[in-house]
Amino acid sequence: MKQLFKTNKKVKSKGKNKIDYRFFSLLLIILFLGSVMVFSASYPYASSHFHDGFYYVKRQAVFLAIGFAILTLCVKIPLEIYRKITPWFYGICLLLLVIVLFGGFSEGVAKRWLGIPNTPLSFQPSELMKLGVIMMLSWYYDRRTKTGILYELILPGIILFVPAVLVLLEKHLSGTIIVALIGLSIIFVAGTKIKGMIFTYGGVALTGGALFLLTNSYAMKRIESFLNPTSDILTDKWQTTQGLYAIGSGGLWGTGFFNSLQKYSYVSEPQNDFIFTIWCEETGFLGAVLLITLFLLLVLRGIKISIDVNETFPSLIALGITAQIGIQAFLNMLVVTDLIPNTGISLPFFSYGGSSLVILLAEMGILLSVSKSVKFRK
Amino acid sequence: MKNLSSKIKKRTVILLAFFLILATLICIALFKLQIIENSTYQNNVFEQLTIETSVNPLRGSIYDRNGVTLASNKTVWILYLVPKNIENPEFVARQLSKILNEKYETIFEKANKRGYKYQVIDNDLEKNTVDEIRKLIKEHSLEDQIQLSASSKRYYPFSNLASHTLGFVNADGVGIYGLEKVYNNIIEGTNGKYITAQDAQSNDMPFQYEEYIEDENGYNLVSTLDLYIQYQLEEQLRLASIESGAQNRSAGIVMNPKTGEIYAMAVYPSFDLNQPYVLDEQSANKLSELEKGSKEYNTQYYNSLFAMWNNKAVTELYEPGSTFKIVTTSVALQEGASSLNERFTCTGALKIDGFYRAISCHKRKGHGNISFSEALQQSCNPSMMKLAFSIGRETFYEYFKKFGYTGKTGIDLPSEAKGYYHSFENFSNVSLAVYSFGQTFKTTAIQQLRAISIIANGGYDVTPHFLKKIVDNDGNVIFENEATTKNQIIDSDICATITQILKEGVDGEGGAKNAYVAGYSIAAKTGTSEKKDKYDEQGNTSYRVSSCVAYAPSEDAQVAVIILVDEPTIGSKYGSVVAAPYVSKLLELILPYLGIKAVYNDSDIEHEQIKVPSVEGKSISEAVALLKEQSISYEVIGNGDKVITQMPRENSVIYKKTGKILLYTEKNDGNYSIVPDVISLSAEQANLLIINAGFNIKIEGAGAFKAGSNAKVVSQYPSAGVSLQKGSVITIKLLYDEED
Repeated sequence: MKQLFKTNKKVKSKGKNKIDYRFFSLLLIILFLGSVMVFSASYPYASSHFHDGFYYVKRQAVFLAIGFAILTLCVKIPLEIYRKITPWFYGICLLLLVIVLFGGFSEGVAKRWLGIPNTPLSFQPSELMKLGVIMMLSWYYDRRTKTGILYELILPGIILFVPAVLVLLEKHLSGTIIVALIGLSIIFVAGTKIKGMIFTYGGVALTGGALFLLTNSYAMKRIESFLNPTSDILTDKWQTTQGLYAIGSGGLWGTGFFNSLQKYSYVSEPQNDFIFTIWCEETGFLGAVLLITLFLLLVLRGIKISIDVNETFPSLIALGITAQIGIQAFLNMLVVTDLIPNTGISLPFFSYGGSSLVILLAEMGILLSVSKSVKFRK
Repeated sequence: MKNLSSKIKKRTVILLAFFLILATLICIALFKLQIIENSTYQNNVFEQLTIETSVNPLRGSIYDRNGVTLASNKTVWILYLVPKNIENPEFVARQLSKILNEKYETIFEKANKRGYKYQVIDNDLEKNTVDEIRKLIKEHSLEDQIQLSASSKRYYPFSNLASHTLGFVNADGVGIYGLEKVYNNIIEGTNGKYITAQDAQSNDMPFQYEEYIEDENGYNLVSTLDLYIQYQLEEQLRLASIESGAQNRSAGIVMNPKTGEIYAMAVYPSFDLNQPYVLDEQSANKLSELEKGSKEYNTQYYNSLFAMWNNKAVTELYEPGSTFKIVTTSVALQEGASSLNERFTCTGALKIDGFYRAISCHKRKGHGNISFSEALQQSCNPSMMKLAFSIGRETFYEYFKKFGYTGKTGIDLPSEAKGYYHSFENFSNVSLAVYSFGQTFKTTAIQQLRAISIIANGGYDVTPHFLKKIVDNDGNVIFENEATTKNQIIDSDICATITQILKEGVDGEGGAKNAYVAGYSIAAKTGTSEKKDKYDEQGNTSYRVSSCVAYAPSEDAQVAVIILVDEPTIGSKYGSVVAAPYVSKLLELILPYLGIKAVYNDSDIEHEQIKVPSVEGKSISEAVALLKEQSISYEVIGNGDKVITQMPRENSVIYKKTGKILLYTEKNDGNYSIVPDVISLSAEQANLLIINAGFNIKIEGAGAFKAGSNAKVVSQYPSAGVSLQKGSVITIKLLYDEED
């Protein structure tokens, strides 16, 4: 790590065409901790389901390799190319979202996957759409010259809400929320008037949310389970309660690496959305605060890149991607600490999952690519 | 674009602040969960994770004073099924129902509970059944479907012996009656724990998570009970109850009056400690009139059970009656309220101020002019009342307390009853009068025996108890109950005086003559109290509690006894008849056992008994020499030179002085005689008739052979009119038909 920072300083002195190594180092640390955690958390589940405790960690390694290949590729692609392909990319994402509504398959309740089931070749178009929205909004603000309601609120609104509604139609509440929050972050940072945002988007979100809840019993049930915590531990509340048990039993120092007890099928599929609870159990309050700090530093560094880039398109892309990491990470933590309802949000770089990891690493590549164009003023 | 750029920066900082707030919020939540509520969550996790199996410690044994086991444990087996592994529930159920002799449906239902890990079929299997099941398991490879585990069960090797004292344990192995209850904490031991971890699907954890907290076996209890004495007490109590036709249960206690160690305590009828829920015959008969399963039946069943389990000797109250006069006379001497020289005149009744009629003596015609000693020996009520008035109300009440009638003895048995008595405010002159002869207050058998023991031991208070020693499994003594000296209540010389009076009463003309034991000096007093709160069919208070207290040897009492018979129905209801003879028999059996040598006086020697040796087949000269050597009288019949038969036969018991052995030297069976009728005769008369008829005599019944005694023959065997070979032994039983 020290080595990396030293190199970074050299890069600084040269001042050009080098990625932001601080960000990259933070990313590597988080990825390392995440992979280790996937191993620990998934071991019992993998042992009982696949008779191979390394089942998940092996696959995660493969995804990491693929992810890094794509990351490297993304770093290499010049910004101009991104700018050019953005509308196409956005369009393809929309198309995939439409396709998944008819031809997708499900893992669990909601139908949101495309590709070959249960293989690395399956992915959620909604994951891709997050990047699509980030890029399209950045592209839009980069080109926007006129002011007025149409240009400031309605057009960005359409860019954001069309995919959001499509994701919602997949009955993917958390995906919708994240897409919306990422988009709103960009629109917000782009300088849109807050009042206008509240009146227009707030109205749309409220109407959409209400309609969704009324027509969707699955989501209603999740909300109910949150509002009524005394309901049967064995049903909806089980996962949340077991997560809290895991976190709470960690104490200050944690039970030590690999020593989680809750991962033995008490927290079901502990390698997925609830992996943070196992992290808290094994590393304790200190470990939890460390990880939160790491994510905060990553966000801080991402925002620094965004600010340091004096160009709208890459700046907003960097911001969007950073916002996505922050939003997903902290929403995930809010869920597992029972501060907000359980909606199924994964923890970036920690939760096991092939396509989302690969897409995340691609986004990191783009962000690092953006960081290359930072002009150092110091 | 600069404008936008600065705005972007501002908005970006706001976004960053938003993330910071979220992170802070999460940290606060984590702090609450992980630091503040940490222990709660750790417990929650531990609880849902672990399966705790209790490991039962071995309950300590209970021994008698000589180390004989009275209560211990035996191995029984628990049979359980593992339904989730059972392939063919029909087969398993059919096979097991055959072996266990149980309903097929019941077992099938359990065997067919798919997915269950544990279904208990039976938890009290004996070895032979277990062997059969093992065979079945082996033959059909059912190891993972039918399982057996050994367990321990309380076991009482002597079943009924000392049942009310020992008590028993409930299904959880907790003592609920008797010594099992009182010393439960000491003998139960400490549960061990075996903790294993399981995941949410009840599978064992892949890693070794085991915690074993060793169980600690209970300590063993060495009681003061003596198996032999207990057995003899129960036997005498049984005879006393049956022969007097007692309607209620009887109770008896044998205690060391100096130390308070209880050698034996019994209630008749007893019950089987190994089957405490089976009613005794008496209670079962009452129950058989009711329809089985009806509400009345169940109520009656449980009432009968509770009644049966109660230890009458410590939980039931009775009016002690005349046995209390020992206390009254002792106190009178102690307080100088009277002296041995005082004489009393009994006219058969005494008028007391405050009572509407004169209070009568049991001897309606009156005892006449009698001495202090005679007043006690002949149990004169008016004399006692006079003594009580001399003592005074306050002093009498004070001693009443000191003798323990207002409290409990503190015996180590559960549910000891407290006496029923008047508060001092309500303790009127009339109360004083009737208390003096043991009426209108109630006490328990153990309290009464304790009070008598105070006189027996020279005046010292004493606590009856069963605990001798607590011993661990390696034989180390953990606790030894040592006798502690207690307050002296009555001076030793006064105790000796009272004892002497009682002893002379037994030897001479007292009401307790039936308590006499040849060769021993016995102090005894009998009592018969009216049950004033229970009426017979005619509306009379004809029910009685008949009792006898005794201690011996009188000059240095080693043992004190009480026998109490509740509601005798056959013959005399006096304690002297209903209880004293059995006290006598009991003392006769246990005094030699306790190592106390018999010392015979002249009158005893006159009636010294001897076991007849065998001289059959010997030559006349040899036989005569042998008999002469043992100073046994003999008579040679016939002219042969060899003894062909002898009468009585070997090992018969005859009186050394009057008995005679007939030696038949010829095969002559003509020497017969007819058994005379001796019923209702005195001992002398009966003796004369029987000896003259050419028979030997054997007398049963205490002190009955004393010259000039007025004891009468109550039974004889063989009965009158039977023709028997001369020299045969005729057994007669004598009793005084004495009032108390």
